[in-house]
Amino acid sequence: MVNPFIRSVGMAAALAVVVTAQTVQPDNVLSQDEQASRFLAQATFGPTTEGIAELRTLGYNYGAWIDREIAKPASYAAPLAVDAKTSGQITTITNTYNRRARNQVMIAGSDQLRQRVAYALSQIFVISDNISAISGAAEGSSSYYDMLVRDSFGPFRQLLLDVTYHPMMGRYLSHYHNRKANSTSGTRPDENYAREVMQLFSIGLYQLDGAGNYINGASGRPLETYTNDQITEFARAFTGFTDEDNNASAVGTGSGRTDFPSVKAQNYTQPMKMWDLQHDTAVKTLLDYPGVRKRNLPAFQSGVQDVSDAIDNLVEHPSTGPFISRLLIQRLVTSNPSDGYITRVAATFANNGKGQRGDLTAVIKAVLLDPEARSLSFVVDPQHGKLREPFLRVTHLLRAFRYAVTSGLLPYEFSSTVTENTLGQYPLSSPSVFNFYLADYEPQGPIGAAGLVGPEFQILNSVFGITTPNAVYNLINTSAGNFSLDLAPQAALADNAATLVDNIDLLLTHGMLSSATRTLVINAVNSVTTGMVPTGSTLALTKARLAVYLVAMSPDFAVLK
Amino acid sequence: MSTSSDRPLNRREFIGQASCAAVGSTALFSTLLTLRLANSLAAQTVTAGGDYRALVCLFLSGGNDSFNMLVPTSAGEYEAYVKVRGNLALAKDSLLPITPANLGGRTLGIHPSMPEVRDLFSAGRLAFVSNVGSLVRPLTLADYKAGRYLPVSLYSHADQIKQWQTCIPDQRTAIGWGGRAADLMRSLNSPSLVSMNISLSGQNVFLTGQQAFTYSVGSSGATALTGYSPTAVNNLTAVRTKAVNSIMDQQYRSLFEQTYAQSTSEAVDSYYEFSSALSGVTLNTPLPTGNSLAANLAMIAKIISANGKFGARRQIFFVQLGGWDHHDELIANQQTMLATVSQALSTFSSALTEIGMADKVTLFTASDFGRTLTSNGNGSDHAWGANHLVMGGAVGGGKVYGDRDNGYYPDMQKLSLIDTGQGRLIPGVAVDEYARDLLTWFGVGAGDLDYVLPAFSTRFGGRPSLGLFSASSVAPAPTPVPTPTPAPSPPASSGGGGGGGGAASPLFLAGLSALALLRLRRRRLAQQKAATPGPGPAAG
Repeated sequence: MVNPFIRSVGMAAALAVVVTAQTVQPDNVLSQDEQASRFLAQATFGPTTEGIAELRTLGYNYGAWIDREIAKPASYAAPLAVDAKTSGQITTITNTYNRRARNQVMIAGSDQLRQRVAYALSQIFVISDNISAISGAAEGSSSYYDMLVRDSFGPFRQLLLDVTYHPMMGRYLSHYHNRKANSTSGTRPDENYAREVMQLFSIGLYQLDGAGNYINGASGRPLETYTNDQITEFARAFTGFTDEDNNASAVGTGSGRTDFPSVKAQNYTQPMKMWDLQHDTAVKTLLDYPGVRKRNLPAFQSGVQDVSDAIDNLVEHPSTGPFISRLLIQRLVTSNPSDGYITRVAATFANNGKGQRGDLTAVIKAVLLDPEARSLSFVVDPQHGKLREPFLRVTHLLRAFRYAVTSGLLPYEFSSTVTENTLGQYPLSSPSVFNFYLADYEPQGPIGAAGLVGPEFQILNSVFGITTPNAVYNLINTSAGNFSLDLAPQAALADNAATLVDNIDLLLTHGMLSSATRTLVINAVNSVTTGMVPTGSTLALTKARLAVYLVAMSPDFAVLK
Repeated sequence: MSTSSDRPLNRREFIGQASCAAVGSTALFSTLLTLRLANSLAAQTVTAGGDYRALVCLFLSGGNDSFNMLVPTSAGEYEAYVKVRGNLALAKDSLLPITPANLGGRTLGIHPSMPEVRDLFSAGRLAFVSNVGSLVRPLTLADYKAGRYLPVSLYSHADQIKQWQTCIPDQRTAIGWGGRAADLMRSLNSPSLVSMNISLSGQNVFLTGQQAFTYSVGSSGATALTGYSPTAVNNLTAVRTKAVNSIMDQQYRSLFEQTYAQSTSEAVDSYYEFSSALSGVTLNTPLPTGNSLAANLAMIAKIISANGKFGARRQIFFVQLGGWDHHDELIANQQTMLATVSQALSTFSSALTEIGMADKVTLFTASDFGRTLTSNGNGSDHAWGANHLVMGGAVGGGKVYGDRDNGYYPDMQKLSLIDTGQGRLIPGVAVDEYARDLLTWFGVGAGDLDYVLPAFSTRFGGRPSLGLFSASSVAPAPTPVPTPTPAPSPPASSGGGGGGGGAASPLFLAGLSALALLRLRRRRLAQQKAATPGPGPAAG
């Protein structure tokens, strides 16, 4: 086939240079420590020397490590912000303080697995501080994140119920103050939450088999899981949410959404309550599937009962396990899990071995302990792994190199160096409920051509492809807001470039740095001379910074395998 | 596991495979198209004459409630509008009245926060297109009720966005019609690291082609990689630059590593060409403060004004403004957001006039879908057909285009034939038809329309053009012109230790740009070499 590029550039052939075709691939002979580092890259905000040592003392028993993590007390963000206000250090809990509080628990929390899972959940059950109803809601967004933290290892049903009732989700998907139909004003219930809870939070658009593949209908097309009529049925179930319960009096009047009791105090953190006078009490017909229990909701049920039943109808749907399993695997391990991997995780979702459905502890273990996550044979599989999210590239660097934060109130501040504008993402700041990237995004190039997906590539473009490395450069060479790295241990190794690079390899690339890239970094380090050392640095530190930067820029680090 | 990717593919090779693969997966229309794509793309279409044209897609993501952007005000129609919209209806006396030239005296009102748009409409520089949406083929309510010929996943954000951007409403695909137009026409442009398709809002389906890729910039232009300089010598930056280049130029076996390395290299290299072309380009048109859309459109105007430096005769731009999913607080939010759009469009129009390109650029809006005419209490929900606007000197402005058999703009007294429920209107104009007028003006020949808008002739071929552009403004028939190669300037002499700092001279940047282009070519040749069939590494 004619090569269109050659045709278009015409003279390019004249530039032909003889290049030896070499294919660079990861090192897949890993020590136990390196394997531990790889595991921690999937299960935490980044491996540390101490974290690797902890696994060593556990005899590299990952299951035991997970059990220890689950037993740890949870770290919560909202109390950090509230304490700062209570103690008079700040007068208002602004969005900035919420972001700092969440950064602190994510990066520094001792409950790393719980935090990492909660962060993954925040990319499935998305709310965003890019709308004022959330950024201006005191500690509301942190309270939402804390709810994900609390429910990370619990039953999926509780998680979905808590997501539904959280006042921030109520604001984000507008079911807060959703009213039953009003024949006088001609209004009908808001369909927003009803649609997205199905499309994004539970069953997805298309019916899935146990391996997460679409089930095709007679026409050969995937079978849709619901119709718009069914959305309107769910929309009626999700009416009546407000801040006051049925015992409240003083109903407001007028247009808009004021036909609810007057709000006594703004509630941004406690579950919304049900005001049955605005709940639609007619019969509702929900989704039908084999074994369905809660298909028909009878008339005159309470709002609380309707919501509970609607959540049951979704949680028990056969698509929910494979749908959620795929998303969790994509966030933690690999973009394109095999049918077998999804099948194993989804089967665990369906039954944790004790007859319980939706046990997230069991699901998380199934995701992280699966052979497809652990076996070293996948390290060199060209289709395995995922692009490390930009935010995780930053946190992995911070934790690997003993970050310091300047002291002060809620100090976990990146300033303008690390924001959604430089990374293309920032926790709880997605541009829409569809997250920073779609689960089925097919990047142009070899990934898309192979029929594979690479969600994180949706935010790798010629803007963020520069600004993310620049954030990393600043962090390594100077600082990122209040954060700086401690590269003294690496500088101490700089006399021997190979030793230096191998140390970085353990922490950043988990022993998988390709020999070709390793050689290039070593050569670069060896070519640094005293004349090149910037003011205020030393030769050793200059070498260490260069080596860390080059590994951090390399495809070897960018892709977690 | 697929065996097709057991050895690495380069970008060009993958294109060949992708188009072959398409034959299998999109049998409905792709076979002929794919053959044409592979064999004769540049041969048929494409306009000549040294003229320049640009399309600008303004995507209002979330789904604009467009029947409050353009409201019927004639007797009877306004009352019907009030009846269906309930508490979402706008007061008649608040609307900015217009009497479109082609509606036989029917009147409409533009949203009160859009006086600039009204002025552009009155000046003949802007038109509306009414009730546009994704269709597989022209559709009746009976078809809808029978479940025939329906786009997949109607009313879902992600799907309807894709369908607007691909014009393939019955399948899920990630190649957009802006991308396919670029596949067809990019050979009109000189080779450049800055693609024909440029996004101010990152990756999107619309601009993604089989071959054409998207260059992303921000409203302040491109950013240099810190600590990197192709001309640095004998200093730390030189060491770092050499190492980064070497690392990115390696052939990675992992598809993910390959894709990351290629994207990063292109981002790094294209900076130099982009900055060189834009250095010295200024606009005098004042920007409204705090209006990010206006800032993005101003950057587009700057790029357009530098088209000669890119050797670009055709460019397609994409810019997105989010936040239109007004299930709640519709009235208050639209008031602010439509004002943002209106002021930004006015700014863009002035900027294009300033640079003398008003007749050469057409901006059009797109959005996920329309919204329900009925109220959910304080907002509206996902629906289908929607009103859009098209702006530019070549546009037959001052009119409302649409389904001419039904009076161009739907009569709200007679919705029963097109309302699928809750005021979700079956579109009278397919996105494909909207796109056809734009693409024809852009220079896509009739014979290639079925490539850019798959199976257009089968699905909508019998329907007449909307008539958005006068015949004289449509680009003339094509004659491919050999693409000139930019004369490589000698590399600027050394200097510049730290990358990124200080204002570089245009000549200096041009030198860097030429260097970067050479580097890119070498890399691609190397990749090609590496990808030629031969004994591959062990299968993974």
